[in-house]
Amino acid sequence: MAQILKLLQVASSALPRVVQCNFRTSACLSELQKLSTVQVVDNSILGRSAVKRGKKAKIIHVYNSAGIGKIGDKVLLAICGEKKHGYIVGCKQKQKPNTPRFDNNNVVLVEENGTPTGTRIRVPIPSCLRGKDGEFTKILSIATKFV
Amino acid sequence: MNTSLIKHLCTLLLRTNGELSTISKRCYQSHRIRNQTLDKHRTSPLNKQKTEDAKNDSKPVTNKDPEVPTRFLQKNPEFLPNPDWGYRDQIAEMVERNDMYRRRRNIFMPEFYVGSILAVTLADKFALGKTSRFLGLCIYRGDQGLHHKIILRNVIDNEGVEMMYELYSPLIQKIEVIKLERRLDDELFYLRDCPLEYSYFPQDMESQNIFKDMPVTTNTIKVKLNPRPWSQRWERVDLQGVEPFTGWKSEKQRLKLKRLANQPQVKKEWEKMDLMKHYRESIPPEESMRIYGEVVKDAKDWKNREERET
Repeated sequence: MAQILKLLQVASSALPRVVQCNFRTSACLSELQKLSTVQVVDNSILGRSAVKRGKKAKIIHVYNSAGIGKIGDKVLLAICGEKKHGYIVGCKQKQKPNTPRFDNNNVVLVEENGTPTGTRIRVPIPSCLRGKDGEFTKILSIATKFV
Repeated sequence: MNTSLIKHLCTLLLRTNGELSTISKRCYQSHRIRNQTLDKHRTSPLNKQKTEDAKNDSKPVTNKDPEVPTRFLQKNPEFLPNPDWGYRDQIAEMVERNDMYRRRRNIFMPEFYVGSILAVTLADKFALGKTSRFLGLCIYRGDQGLHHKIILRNVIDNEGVEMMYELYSPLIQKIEVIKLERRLDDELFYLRDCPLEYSYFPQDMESQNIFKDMPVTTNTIKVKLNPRPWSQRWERVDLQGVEPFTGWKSEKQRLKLKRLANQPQVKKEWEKMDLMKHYRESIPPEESMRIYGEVVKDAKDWKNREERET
């Protein structure tokens, strides 16, 4: 019996174990994809209430083929139990030369018809958004600063 | 494997023989000059003549002060090639350097270091007035040759903003040095995990009076890190410009951080003695002297200009 137990022990040690790591050794890519959290930077009531509650808005869909949000991409957000559309106006990810990189992932909320929910944007906006296709004119008109 | 397949592979190899001879790590750098373009330079008869001329009059650079070349290359580290031999390509370096001289005749490149405050004016077709000026602290300076890059960091409206510029890009109109100084570290990426006050400089900051051969001071400021989580594991890096970290949550975490900071892998004291590591990560002096000699030959045009502007 003891021999069988010993054999079993040996066999179990030889089996591949699934070890889950909760640390990383390399720098994070900080890509914006589904379930990544973002900061709402306009002065809409929803955005401010999300900050008050201490719950950041979550991306639940990115409207492009890659599924990874870049500057100027449209996203669907889960914010305070609601579904809202928004545009990414700043990324933490490494950018190309002459494009600004921000310390936070910034999003501006828009209604279904494309008009922004807030009336002012609190952070600087990359000027390259002016050259992107999309309904940015209304967002750009409420911006305060460009970099 | 059957013989027909081998034959097929051989023909494939023969077809791409010209490219095979030049395969190195360079191939994977998409932004560099393509190998096809370089091969034109390699096979060009003009180029052969140039190399022969260079061989004929390859006199050693004679300077009164032997420190001059090293000081020049410290100020302009982009002239030195990558120390990794896998990335070296003499022809590519020469072609890139020629382009750099051409750019330097049109724009004034001031002396600066990581830790200096710079303002870069860029041609931006989307900005008002078609130009945008960004002032910030230089937190990184790297990449060799024509693709030399800097990163400027500043805080605008309580939001940290970083801009990466390619110094030799034709879009850049003006580079101003606002404050000429160094910091204790070679890279200041830890400012991303510090309170914003450490990386705030007003956009209309007045520039310091900078003159030629000005002594460069070292700013010995020690910044304080935010509580964890950080963007990198700073406890494993031997940072000079950072105060000892105090924001631990529990006694257990404090002990862990202390233990990690005292590990030999953090201080890496053997690296001072590692001759091979030093050799691998630096350009040999003969090579750097050769490059300096080549640069000085062409530098007459833009060096006079530099002296006038400083």
